Amino acid sequence: MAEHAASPPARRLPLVQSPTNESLPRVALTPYEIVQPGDIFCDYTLVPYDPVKPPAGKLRSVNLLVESFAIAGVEAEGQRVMKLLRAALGPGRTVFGVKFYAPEHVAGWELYFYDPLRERHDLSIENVTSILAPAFAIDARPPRPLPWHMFSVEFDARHLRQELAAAVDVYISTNPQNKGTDRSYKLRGSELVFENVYSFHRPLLEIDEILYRLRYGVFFSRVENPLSALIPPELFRCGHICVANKRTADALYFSRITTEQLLFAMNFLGWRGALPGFITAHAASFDHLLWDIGFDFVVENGRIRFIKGGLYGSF
Amino acid sequence: MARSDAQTAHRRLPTRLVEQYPTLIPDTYSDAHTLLVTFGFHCNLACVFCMVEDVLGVYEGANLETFKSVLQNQATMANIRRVTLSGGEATLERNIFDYVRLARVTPGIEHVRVQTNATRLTNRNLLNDLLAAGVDEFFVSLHGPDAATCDLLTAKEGSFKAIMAGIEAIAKSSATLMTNTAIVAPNHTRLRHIVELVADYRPRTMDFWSIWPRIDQDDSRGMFVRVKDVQPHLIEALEACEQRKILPVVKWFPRCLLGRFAGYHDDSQPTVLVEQTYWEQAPSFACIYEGVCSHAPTRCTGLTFPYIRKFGWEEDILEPARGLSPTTINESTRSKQDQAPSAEAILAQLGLTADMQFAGFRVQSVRPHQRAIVIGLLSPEGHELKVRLYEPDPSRRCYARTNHFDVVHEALPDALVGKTDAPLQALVAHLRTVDFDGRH
Repeated sequence: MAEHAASPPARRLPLVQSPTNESLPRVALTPYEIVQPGDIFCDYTLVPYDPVKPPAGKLRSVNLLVESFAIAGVEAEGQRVMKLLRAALGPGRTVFGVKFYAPEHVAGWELYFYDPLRERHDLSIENVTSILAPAFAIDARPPRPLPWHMFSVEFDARHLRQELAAAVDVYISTNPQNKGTDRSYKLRGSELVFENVYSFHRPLLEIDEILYRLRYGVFFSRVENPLSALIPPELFRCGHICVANKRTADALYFSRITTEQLLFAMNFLGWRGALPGFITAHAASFDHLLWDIGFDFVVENGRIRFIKGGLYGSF
Repeated sequence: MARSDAQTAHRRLPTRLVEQYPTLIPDTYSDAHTLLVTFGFHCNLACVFCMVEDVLGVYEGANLETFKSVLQNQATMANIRRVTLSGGEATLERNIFDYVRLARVTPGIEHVRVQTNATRLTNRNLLNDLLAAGVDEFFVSLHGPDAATCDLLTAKEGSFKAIMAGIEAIAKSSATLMTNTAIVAPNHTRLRHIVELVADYRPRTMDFWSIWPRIDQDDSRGMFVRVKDVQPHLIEALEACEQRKILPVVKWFPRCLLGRFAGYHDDSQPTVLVEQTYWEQAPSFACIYEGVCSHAPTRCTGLTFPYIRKFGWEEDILEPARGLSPTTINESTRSKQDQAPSAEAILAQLGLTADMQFAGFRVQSVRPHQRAIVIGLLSPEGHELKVRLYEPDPSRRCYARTNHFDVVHEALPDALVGKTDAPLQALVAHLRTVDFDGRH
């Protein structure tokens, strides 16, 4: 019915300026998840941090995960995973990693579950296997109680389409005074296969240990490439640098980097395609966050090649 | 102070150096007292490493009105004793005399300096007029000891001859001569020759600055040179300066590579009046050892990002001065990143124990406070003497200094006035025994 010219104006809800311009490039159909009062921001070891800029009205890191599902064509399936975990474990319990196996596309995901003090009765490999069963199968049966402080589940679109069963990686943290002895194993079925050793270091105070770990790696030689080819100055000032020695590559992880550093890192690592484009376009809406990134590297014909990368957040 | 990673909190030459050469280094030299005003932005040379290449003919800098208002701002001008006129080649600006006169009549200003290539100062009238207006120092850019090197770097044939003529004119005048040399690939082996060339003109200081790559950050012009390649030649130049009683100053070169000449290292910067957009392209600095070196980042800013991108971190060449500092102690005594440092761990780092006594004053507490450590000493009568340990800062007023701590006590309660020297001296003596890395 047409409004009468003399009638009082209709009451309208106030317009709220969204920081997430709908015209920005985006594939996902799910509404953005906006930071809510009381949100706790955590790094990829699930340790809280204070946002570096006022977070009100900005985007949660999980929007990145949702977008990556959408880009891979499994938005609904991915959303289901998130909903299952949030319903069973509650919010803020899960760290996610978006994995790049090639620079042009998102190849997979990994979910990490922390309980270093083993005080969460709802967190076990068996329980997570059960929680995620409606979304995808996990084939991991601990042959005995395992002293993990964290375990993870890596999956891709094939798992989400129920074509494959996922394995579990278990991470064993040993003596914190004896860095370089932490390690991980792949658990498939009831078989454990050694995966890597890793250590976390504060870059400013423990640079000697980082140099030591890199100096004695077999996949990188400073004769061929300078250290800055792996640790660029733009990323040096971060929370922790993690050095991992894997079976067929070594890896570095940089924690608590700003969105500005992340934009640099994506370019440095050659990450291109839809997801980096999404991050770049939404950088202002992510600028309150600290991110964690990692990459596997090898040297081929004297040149460093980044063969796998990961970008982490939590939900 | 304009923002830049290259700019440091303290702006004075090391006290130790001043004490070492009391007749050579007047305390008014320090950049803690300098205001650098940019204006004009024109130049008659085209140095290949120029810091303002992209803004010549673009920027206006501080006009007279702005300059005047800054000079009248008491907070900004507190402790400022020198005004340096810069931008492009400042002597090209017709109104330079207005700037000089304004600076000269400002209370507290003892020196008015012109940063120049000196090529126009062979004009006796110009030189005399500048002197008459109040200029007493000329900071002359000279980047080669011969025409071939110099003209290559200034991109102007004949520049060497003109610069040297200008230097000669300054030397014959009543003004103080200072020189500045950018260390770049084409001249890095010739630094001593520059000293020998200029020495006869009796410069008070000779600055040697590593290239500050604001424009050509990818070094497409081939100006970058590795610090290990510069090191022996720079040391030679510093030796030559000492022999000739010239005070050298080294900027943006790793302090740890200067050996016994480290005292000449000074990464301080003056307060700069320039368009804020200037700093958007300013190179950032870092050092792989900045978390463990007691010289970083306050005394030594490290290497530029563009340098690190080209040559690497130089982790095998740099020699961090490892020692105690409030920051490293506070950081290293956290059991987790987000937890407060533990008092016990801080005490251990300082070689202290709870209840330890200094002239009857008992160690009661220790805690981190921002970038300092606060030690509480309790007098026999139960009054607390709070002592703070800060990062070294030569401009800080403090009770005493050790290698890595400035020792400051908080305001004394009335009951402690006149009773704190003995415990403070005892504490400082203790700190000196634990705060020794054999380098100083």
